[in-house]
Amino acid sequence: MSVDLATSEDQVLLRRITYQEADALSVLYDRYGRLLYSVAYHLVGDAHLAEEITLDVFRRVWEKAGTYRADRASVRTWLTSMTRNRAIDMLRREGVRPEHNSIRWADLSVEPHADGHSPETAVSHQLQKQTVHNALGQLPPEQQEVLFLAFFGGYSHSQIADELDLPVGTVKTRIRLGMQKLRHILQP
Amino acid sequence: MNSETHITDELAAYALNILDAEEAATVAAHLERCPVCQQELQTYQELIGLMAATVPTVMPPASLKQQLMHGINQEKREATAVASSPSPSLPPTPTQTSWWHILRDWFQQRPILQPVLLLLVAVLLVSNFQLRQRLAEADRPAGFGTITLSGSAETAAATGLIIISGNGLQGTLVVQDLPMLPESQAYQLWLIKDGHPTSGGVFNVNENGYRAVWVVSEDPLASYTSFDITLEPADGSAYPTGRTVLND
Repeated sequence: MSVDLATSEDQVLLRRITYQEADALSVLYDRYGRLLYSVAYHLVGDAHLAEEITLDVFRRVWEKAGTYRADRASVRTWLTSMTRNRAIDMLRREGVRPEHNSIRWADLSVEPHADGHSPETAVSHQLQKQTVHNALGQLPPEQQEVLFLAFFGGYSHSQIADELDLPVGTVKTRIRLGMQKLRHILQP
Repeated sequence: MNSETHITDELAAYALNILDAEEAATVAAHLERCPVCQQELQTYQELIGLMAATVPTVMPPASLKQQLMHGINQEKREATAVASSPSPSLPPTPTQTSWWHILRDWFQQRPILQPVLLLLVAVLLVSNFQLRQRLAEADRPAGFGTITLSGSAETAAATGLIIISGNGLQGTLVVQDLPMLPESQAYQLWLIKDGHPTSGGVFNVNENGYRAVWVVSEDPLASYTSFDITLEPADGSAYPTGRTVLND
């Protein structure tokens, strides 16, 4: 019996990946490869490192798809979280900091990242992106600034404090307030 | 745990992965024992997932997917070579009349006697097995015997038994006390080896929750590492997609 993988839910793909079905991983890559590569690239600022991180994440999915918990996160969140953490680990291990002068919150995209989703899902994702974009724009500039360094730089509290010449307590407060406000706007 | 002990102020930073190692370890230790903070963390993780989806698109090279899939397929080939065992096909519909068919028909036509017959068949098979052991020890097939299946939390009363034939390649699955399904659904038996499931048959049960199913495999049934019965669409699935109702 054939099953149309291209229209399968993300969770079904993961389940089939646990059975070592390479076609399911291929479809998952079509849906999220571009997004994960983009997340990695904007964190590490290097194409080769971004490729390494993206491959590493999908290989991890191939080996560990069974550890995914649908009650804890969406597949997209699970994948982007793995990618961010892998990229931040790499930055900290290598002790390097990418330049982020070329990107600001205002530059963030509202265009779809992947073309492997159903039209309904793609529209839903695009609406979400537009909403997030608008929500980020509502934050005070000082909160945008620290969140930007935390989100794209993987900077720790103390590193952000050094970078902006601010007390650590001030950085912590701005990040906490910024995230709380985003949450209030996006998850009322 | 009372509210004073929660660490909600740290959770956004923890989700962003920007805490120092010592702070992160403290939060992680707290999360292990605090479902309230776990739930709070999930909301921040979803929020960060949304933020991540807004990054400007950068196209990965086309070769990246090829590299990924080449590595995965190479790994699969190596794993297959190590296993070096043919995978069983779906069980064909038996065309010849055998005592297994007669036994199956008996079960289906006399629901009231099913528990007794089930026990009798099991006893006869075990007895037969012991006799064969004595008479033909050298030729004894490896897979002869029975496999008991137990219900899940939702089907705790259900039971199943796979009775394996003398040559180890055929068997009869007998289930009882499973809920009768609507026409759009069916139960499906899965023979699982090395994490790879192979369909062992699609079936429904009668109003008494009973059914006997003929199972055929190219590999000895006892060589499979586990047996699952899942809830599937009426025509069955290529892979398990529904919840497990019985397993060994």
